[in-house]
Amino acid sequence: MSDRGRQLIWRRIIVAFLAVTWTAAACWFLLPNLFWRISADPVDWLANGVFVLLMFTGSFNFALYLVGFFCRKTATHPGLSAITTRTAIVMPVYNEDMERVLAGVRQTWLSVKATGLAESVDFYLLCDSTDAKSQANEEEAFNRLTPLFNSAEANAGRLFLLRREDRQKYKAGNIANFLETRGYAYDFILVLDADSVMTGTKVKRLIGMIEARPKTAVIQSVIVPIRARTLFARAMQFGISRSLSLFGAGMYWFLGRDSVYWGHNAVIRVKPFMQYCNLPIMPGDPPLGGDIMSQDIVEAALLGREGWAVDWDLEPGGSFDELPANILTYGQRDRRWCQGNFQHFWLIFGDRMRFGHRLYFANGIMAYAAGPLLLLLVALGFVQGLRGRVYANEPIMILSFIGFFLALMLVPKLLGYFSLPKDARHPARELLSSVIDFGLSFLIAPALFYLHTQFVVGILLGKMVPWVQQSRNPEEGLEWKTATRLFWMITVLGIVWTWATIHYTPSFLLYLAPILVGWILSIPMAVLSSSPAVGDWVARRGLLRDNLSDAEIAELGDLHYESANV
Amino acid sequence: MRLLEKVSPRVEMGQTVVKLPFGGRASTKRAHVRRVMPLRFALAGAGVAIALLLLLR
Repeated sequence: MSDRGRQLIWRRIIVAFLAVTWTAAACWFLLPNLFWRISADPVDWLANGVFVLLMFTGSFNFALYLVGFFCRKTATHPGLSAITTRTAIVMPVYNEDMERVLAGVRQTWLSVKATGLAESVDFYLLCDSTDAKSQANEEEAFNRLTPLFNSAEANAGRLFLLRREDRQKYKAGNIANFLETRGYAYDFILVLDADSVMTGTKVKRLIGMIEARPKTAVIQSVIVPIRARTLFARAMQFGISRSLSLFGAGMYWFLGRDSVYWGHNAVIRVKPFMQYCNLPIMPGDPPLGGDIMSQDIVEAALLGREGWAVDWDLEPGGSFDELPANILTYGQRDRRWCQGNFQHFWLIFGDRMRFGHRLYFANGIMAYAAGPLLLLLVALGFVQGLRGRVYANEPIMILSFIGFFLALMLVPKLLGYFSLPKDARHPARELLSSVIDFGLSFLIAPALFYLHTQFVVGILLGKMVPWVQQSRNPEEGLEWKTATRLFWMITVLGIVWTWATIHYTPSFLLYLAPILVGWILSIPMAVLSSSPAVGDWVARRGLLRDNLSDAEIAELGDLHYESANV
Repeated sequence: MRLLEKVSPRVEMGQTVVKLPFGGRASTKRAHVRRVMPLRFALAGAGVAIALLLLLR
């Protein structure tokens, strides 16, 4: 085994040790009061199992943040070479708001051109829209964009619009169609989403890196969200912009060459991708069988099993996308991802898959299974209360419970703050922003668990999710009527459950409270958090602001909300 | 320099086959996809095992 292979094994042992230690400590302090009993009551056994599974998943991701913080400086990349290859930047488009697409293409291309890459890069809009009006808008946007693409080199720096007749296999099929018809002309493709923006410096860096690594098939950039306007999106943008680079660094440290591809803002080597990434159809009927809906991690795994590396560029900045504006649009996106991740189940055991990819498939499923499992856990605790169990709520128990869960949620945020450049650290502003971010997450998470439970149960009962256009309007508020239709059931359930707990098992109220408060307040929280006015009010006070450099803000132009609107 | 207009073959992507447990198979070609048939037996077996454990404890 090579030194690199041995090093990777040690890294994995360290992360496993951290995760197991934290899980064991949580079990030692929390389980005796909650479920663990020598009598081996079946309800306790089931609850113990669910608790350990949930705590291990949380601890594993927590461990990735820790190693990401302490080891991120060691995850360096070799120097960049001069660009000698041809690259196609491809952007799949499906019934999108073309004004936004146009702005993203314009800012990306202007930056790419300014970096001197126009001679080696072309731009493709892969238009898959079914709606005649959307198709007309795409062609109009294309005509408005073409004057920007006037490279002196006749065979580079050009813009193309491609359509296909046979719309099979969703976005992956759209990219495959491009590769089969035009891929031969390029060494690499750089895949963007319809809401992606990248700076020329980052594009050049990614191309240079993949040129210098002949055994690497994909290099994924760390994507930071921009243009958040509502309180919901701003809080999420704040959290992600402070912690994602740490999580990415930890994941890359742990996974090494078995890293993951997130479907966009990444550069891909054309030849191996064409050879090995024609997506398989999963056995069985939809929703768990049929065409794969979340293709990116499967493509990474297919490349990995053929010996190709999937790497990350950990340098932050220069790579952006957008977030859903409210809990409904976030849930709609999650629903598709949830089905996609559950489709991956059998691939965990697929032949020749690499360990890191098997683990990532499992982690992806747990991201959506965690919500229903947590609700099951509190329901089991409540059942034990009804069966006569009295929970010993001594101060040490309460402090342990709060301490473990707060640590899992707050330590990554704290590490994110200390990983900021010194001149970007504003303690009071960051602290207040973190309090808002944490408070909002705390209040909204139970409603998300409810939505995830709906998705998981629906998928397991065979309910198919159609591939619909993702809402990308950053100002999309949620009306009271819509929020009530979404969450009336958990509001009523929350009130009834609170009453029942106070009357029948008051000692369990402490453990149920985080869920019940979120459920009872779910309707007003969904409406309030979706308001652009509230988001702007918070931003005007310097809170929940993004963390972009002046150069990035200049390159984003009108796409930067803070400079354009607030 | 390769010229886009001078070469225009459609180059097909490769075919992918992933073997899954219990004789299942995922494949690019629909005709080669094979169901993971014994899953229901595995689930039924697990259910019986848990029931036995609970009864015999």
